[in-house]
Amino acid sequence: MSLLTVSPAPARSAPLPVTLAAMRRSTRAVLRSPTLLVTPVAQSLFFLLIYSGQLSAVGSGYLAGGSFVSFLLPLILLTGVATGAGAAGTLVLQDVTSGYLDRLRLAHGTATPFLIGAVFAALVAVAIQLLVTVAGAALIGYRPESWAGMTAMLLLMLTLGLGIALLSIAVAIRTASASSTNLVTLAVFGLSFFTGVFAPVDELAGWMRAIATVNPLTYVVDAARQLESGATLSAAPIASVALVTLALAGIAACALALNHARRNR
Amino acid sequence: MTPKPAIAVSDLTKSYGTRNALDRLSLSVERGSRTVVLGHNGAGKSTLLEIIATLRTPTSGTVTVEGHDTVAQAREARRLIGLTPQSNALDPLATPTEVLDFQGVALGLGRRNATRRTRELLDLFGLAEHRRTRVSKLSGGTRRKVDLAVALVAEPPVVILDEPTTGLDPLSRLDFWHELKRLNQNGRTLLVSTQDLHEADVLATDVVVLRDGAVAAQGSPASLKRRIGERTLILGLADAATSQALLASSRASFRAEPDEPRTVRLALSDTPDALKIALDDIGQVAGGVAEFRLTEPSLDDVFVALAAR
Repeated sequence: MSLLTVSPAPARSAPLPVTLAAMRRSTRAVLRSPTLLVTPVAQSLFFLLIYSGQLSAVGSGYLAGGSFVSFLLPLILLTGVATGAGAAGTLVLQDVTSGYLDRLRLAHGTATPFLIGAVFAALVAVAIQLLVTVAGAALIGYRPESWAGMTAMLLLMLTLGLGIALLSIAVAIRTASASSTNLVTLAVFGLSFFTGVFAPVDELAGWMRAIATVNPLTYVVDAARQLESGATLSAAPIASVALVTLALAGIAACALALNHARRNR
Repeated sequence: MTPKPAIAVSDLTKSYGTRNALDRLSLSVERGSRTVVLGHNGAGKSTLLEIIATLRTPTSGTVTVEGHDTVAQAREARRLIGLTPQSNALDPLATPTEVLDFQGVALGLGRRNATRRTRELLDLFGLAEHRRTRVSKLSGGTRRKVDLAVALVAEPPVVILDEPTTGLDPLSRLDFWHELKRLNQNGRTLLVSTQDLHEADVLATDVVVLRDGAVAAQGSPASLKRRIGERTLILGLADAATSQALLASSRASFRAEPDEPRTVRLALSDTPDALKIALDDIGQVAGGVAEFRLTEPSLDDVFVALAAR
């Protein structure tokens, strides 16, 4: 090999090594972008401190046997996941607008491994953020009812993050616009406050209870609370359907966005 | 037998709504050439290059790269192409080593070969000292070299460069031209778009002038210059009287502008006699000649004549 040697590229590059390399590359990019990693963590810790400090006396009885921080934590994690998982869209958007994604597609033949890399990196960022937030909660008195339940709650949040990451990627490819890509995060963030944020759904005002009842995120938050506390998993079936639907919608949206980009090239 | 071209474009049209960015464009790029595409903003240069690089699909017409159709055989065509897009299409948070390694893996070289190729390219482009610096912190010229190195990870026989020196300072540009000429060996074809006419003059073995999405002219820089004008002999004379004497006595069609009475010009046709006759006549006033210049049309003249709307 030299500068002057001329030979075609290999006939086909295997997808697995490329996907693994793309995961490493995107994770490196997240770890080197303080805003992508620090902002969601700072936001989660801020909400945790403010809400628990101001409302813990009011809501001390919401979770049988648990503290108000335990009641609040799933919602805090959810809002953090909404912000953190959007990193996937931000990473892809950078590659789309700079033309780097085109270049990688030209090299490998398809963009899929690079999108999987961005999803993986966003989930790594979300996982770090979840752990830091739980550690922050522990500092102000949070003690999990069961470690297994808490682990299950974190996995539930990661699943939510997967759906958000996929949707943000789809919007990034389709619009190539930062403000549009951020809308996914904004929408989930906004919806998360139409759940039983500071009180159980049954105790909300009538109109808010009606919205919370049809809001799928209510069931995700409730399922997380039930997992964490070891209570009966009554919200889990709807939460599972919601999360699987979100992930499938994300995959479909990515496929449609890629197809749209292909047709309009 | 005519050798098969590296790139053949036939009747290519690319439409966006009702607007044709390219309009039944045909051209041929010879293997081993340095072909430069010139054209004003919106003439269709980037669209043409992106279609050849398989990044866009034609509305109609065909493009082949080394005989492979860029739509029907896109995968085969891609294996032969290295692309340097108009903007720095790199990962700003990665180092040159990481960018080149990743490109190698994406191309299917395997980790070991990718690492070896990265080392070679860092050395060949003088990037070794920057290998651990993030791309976002490199100078424009160095970043462009990384961009070019990325296009060469797979040793492609065809390298496409879209306005590669835009934004570079004059020294970085000279350095970049040197690298491009170094690449253009062993039959490797370079297809370069630029708005810099001097760059085209320095680099091109062949020039394509685009106007409104179609080829206005194609040929070597010398042939295009000949096509739009003749060489001109310019004499600076000691005084206006000598100038008048030459204009009155010469059999050649010297002319002088009213505001420059001591300068006379003669457009030389391609016939060898024109210069001989002129030189004989100049001999009559040799003592009064202060300056003697022979000029030919520049690519600027070609561009103005052929690409202007």
